Amino acid sequence: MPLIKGYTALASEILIYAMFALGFNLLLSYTGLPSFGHAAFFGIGAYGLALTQLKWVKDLWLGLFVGMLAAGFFAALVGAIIARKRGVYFALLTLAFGQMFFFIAFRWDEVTGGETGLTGFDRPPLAIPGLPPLNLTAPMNFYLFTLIVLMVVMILIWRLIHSPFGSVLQAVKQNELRAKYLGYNTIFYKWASFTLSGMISGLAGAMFALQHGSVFPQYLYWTESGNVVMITIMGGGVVNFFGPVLGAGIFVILQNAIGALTEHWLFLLGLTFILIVMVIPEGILGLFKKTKTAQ
Amino acid sequence: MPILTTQDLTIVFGGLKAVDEVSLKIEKGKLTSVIGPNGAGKTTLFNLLTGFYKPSSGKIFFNVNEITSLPVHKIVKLGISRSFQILKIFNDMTVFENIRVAVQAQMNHGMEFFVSRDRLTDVWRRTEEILEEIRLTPKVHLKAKNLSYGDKRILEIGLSLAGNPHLLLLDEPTSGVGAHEKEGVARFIHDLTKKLTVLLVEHNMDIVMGISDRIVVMHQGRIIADGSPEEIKNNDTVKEVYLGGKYCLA
Repeated sequence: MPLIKGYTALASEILIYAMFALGFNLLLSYTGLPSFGHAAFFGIGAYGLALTQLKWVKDLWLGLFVGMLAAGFFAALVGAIIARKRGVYFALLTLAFGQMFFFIAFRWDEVTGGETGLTGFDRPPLAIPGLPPLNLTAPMNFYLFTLIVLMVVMILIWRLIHSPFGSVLQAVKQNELRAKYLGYNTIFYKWASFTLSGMISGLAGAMFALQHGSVFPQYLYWTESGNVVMITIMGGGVVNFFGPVLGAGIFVILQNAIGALTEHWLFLLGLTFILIVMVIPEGILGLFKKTKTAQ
Repeated sequence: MPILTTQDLTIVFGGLKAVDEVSLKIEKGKLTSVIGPNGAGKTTLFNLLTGFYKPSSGKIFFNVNEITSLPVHKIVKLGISRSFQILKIFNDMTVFENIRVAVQAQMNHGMEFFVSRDRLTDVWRRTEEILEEIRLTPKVHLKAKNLSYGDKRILEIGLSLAGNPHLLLLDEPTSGVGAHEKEGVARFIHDLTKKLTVLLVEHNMDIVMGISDRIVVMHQGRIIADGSPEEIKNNDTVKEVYLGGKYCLA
């Protein structure tokens, strides 16, 4: 990997954001539900991993698993409440729930460490039976591990959206009433999609916590939810499966390249986003849509 | 034994009785039309029969099962299907995908997460059968939004047929269809009664008079007449309701 030499940490971060955005996009583009509170599940995943390492056992798989399940659990709860809502009500409720989780993380000092978050946990070695444990503190090892996790997640999401279940989600997105009149319990499908999406976001959050060795309430803040929306749309996730991956790359590179030069990098990010949305509303990979579908 | 029975079905919207003590018995294998001026409560009746609205009072039975309080998707699974006056098709799916997702619902494949949908041969076969039946086979690869309006109407009906319903409710299936295509849609609907029971809401009196076995006339939420096309044509109350209106009984 000559290209990423010296930038392995950055590359891992791109992969993690890509995972987050792919999970988010399952909901946005494949089910038609706009969530503006997805950072909550990302953050819950991160806290899940951190708390497992700090208070229970230092185990990689268990930490990731707990992070993912915790996020899935809360997504299932929130989903059960809001799956009946549509459009702007749905979006506003996700925002409200997201902020609620943020405040819990911010205030619950005993568990979440409050404002200062949780630090002081390391990346446990990667243990696969029959193989010597792999030290993940080496950036390249961690990068490769992240790459494999992302690949697995991508294959699973790909299969999911091309499964019969995936067609139902598309049907719900395009015409929910008709889907209902075909005999589908659309509320259930929306709930299931929300829960799965939350789980994937949680896994990404847990990976993010591993990478940084710390978690902060800011991970759950609404601006982070905004970032994932931006990443997904900018890259072209609405029309292309790989859009979120491209979006994550642009986001992280802008953040680091411009962020190193000026603290006003968010201004430039916003500008880039506005330009992209004005010129190519479907996102960058939307440019290639015509050639793909015009057969 | 009627396939569908309603007992004193009533729904009130803010003081207005949109459907007012409607008691109906729909006979199996027949084509029954519901007619009446705009606002007579025809579409509301369809929404009640399919569980989209819950009645303020009254009961609905499908065969022997009471379905009054069931949600839409459960009623559909029992065998009542409907089409909509305003098209409800999946615009960004191809014709094939439209029918497939409908077929898949009836075959209970919706909860399969990781199989490829292209490998469900039973769904595939049934989808092709329906496409053949609705004569859209040559257009399977077109996106639904690119179909002609008449074909969209046919697809709309096709979606309601995919679940193998026993009772099909058609809400103005020729609405917006050009005069030259209306005949075809009418014949298609008529042919459906060979296999299932149809309840039709339609404004085009030529079609209604031409293909109905029985006509139910609604006015202000109530049934004001019920009988064969001949009886309805000569019914004085019906003439009065339509007099001066935009409809004329041919």
